[in-house]
Amino acid sequence: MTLRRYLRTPKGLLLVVLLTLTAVSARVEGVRFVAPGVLGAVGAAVLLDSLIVRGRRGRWGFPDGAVLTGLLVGGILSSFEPWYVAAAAAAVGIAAKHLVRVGRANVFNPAALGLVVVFHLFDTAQNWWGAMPAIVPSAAWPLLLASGLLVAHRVNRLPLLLAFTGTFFALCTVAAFLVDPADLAEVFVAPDLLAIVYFACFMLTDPPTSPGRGRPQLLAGALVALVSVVVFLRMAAADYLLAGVLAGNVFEALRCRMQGRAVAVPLVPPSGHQARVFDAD
Amino acid sequence: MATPHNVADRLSSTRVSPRRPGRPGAIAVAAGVAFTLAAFAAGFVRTAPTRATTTVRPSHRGLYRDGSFTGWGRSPHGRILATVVIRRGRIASAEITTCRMRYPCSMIAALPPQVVARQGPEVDIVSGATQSGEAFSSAVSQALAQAVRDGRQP
Repeated sequence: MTLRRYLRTPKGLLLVVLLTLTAVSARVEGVRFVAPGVLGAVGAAVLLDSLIVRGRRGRWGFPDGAVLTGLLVGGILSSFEPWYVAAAAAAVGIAAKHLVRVGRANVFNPAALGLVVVFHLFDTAQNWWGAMPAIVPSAAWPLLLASGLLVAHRVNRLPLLLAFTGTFFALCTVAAFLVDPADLAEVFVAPDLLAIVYFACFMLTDPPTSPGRGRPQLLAGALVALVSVVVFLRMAAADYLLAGVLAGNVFEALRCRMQGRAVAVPLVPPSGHQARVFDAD
Repeated sequence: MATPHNVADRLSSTRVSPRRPGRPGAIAVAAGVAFTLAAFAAGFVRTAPTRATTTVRPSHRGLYRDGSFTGWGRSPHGRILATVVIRRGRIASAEITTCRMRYPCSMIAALPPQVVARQGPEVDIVSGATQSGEAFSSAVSQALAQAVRDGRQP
């Protein structure tokens, strides 16, 4: 597969988008602050994924899914966390990707699972700096929205994205009438708002761990939103979005298991007659 | 066992290039966008007037009555419940009783001893946890405000 053709695949597109967002945000956050975490996460993910794939298939391959996992982990963990915490999060995610599977695909979003595990193990901070909270809004919002919607459209997950965001904000709005509105104010403004969009566009829409069709997408999006809001209100935990997506992953795994097929399904290049099965990320 | 039907079903459901949405699909997407924007706008309006603020009051040194007092401090990332114990008119201890922040309160673990050492809510700014520190300081201020003796001015 040529580079040009690879970049037209969902993983190629997401790789370009995440690298761009990370580079733009890192310039403002300070490269020397964020580089250890990003490099630690990407390095650990690539190393572990490569070794596991080599052991299972007997050949080396470019672990693009691991690079994406590392970029997401590095972009979400606070830059004040040491590099080995980011590496541990990425390693946990990659290990779970190969260990916890239904059929041919992983059950959990690797980055989300790794971040939740290190959050509870090491009490880590997540500031979602990859969502560009430090960039001026007039630049951050168009870049984030355009790239996010492009990715979601490319992987056929727009219904999931809209079901999540619509339900999430609707539930938060209803809750604002039931509890102190100040408890919910932050989800309607940056930086949390940027983090929610970043999460919805790049993590929730992960093809192997999310439904591919319309109605299940609506159900999964609503479920992720409900769990996220409940965790947010009851625990005020930093990982409320990630807890939601893990619940959505379990929903998708159970749904597919009940239907007797794998969680993830192969991705086919748009113009290719020879189907190439991608690794589930 | 993968039947041809199953394979075709799986392939069609995850093709890389999305099918061009027809009119029903476009309407559904437009409805979803409209619903999301409406829900967001309603919530934004509802929560905007009461957005969390943190204030640091001046020191209440020497003005307190004995007892245990609690106060909430808010930040854009959650809230903190602080408990301040007053003995013989002085701050004997301060601690974070409940951490409902979306960042770990371990990052500001050094701040409660500062309240005792300085006998007031003024604490250092913690790099990477500025707003958590402000929320804690605000919580201590609220607790101390309850501890102020009647008739005294802080």
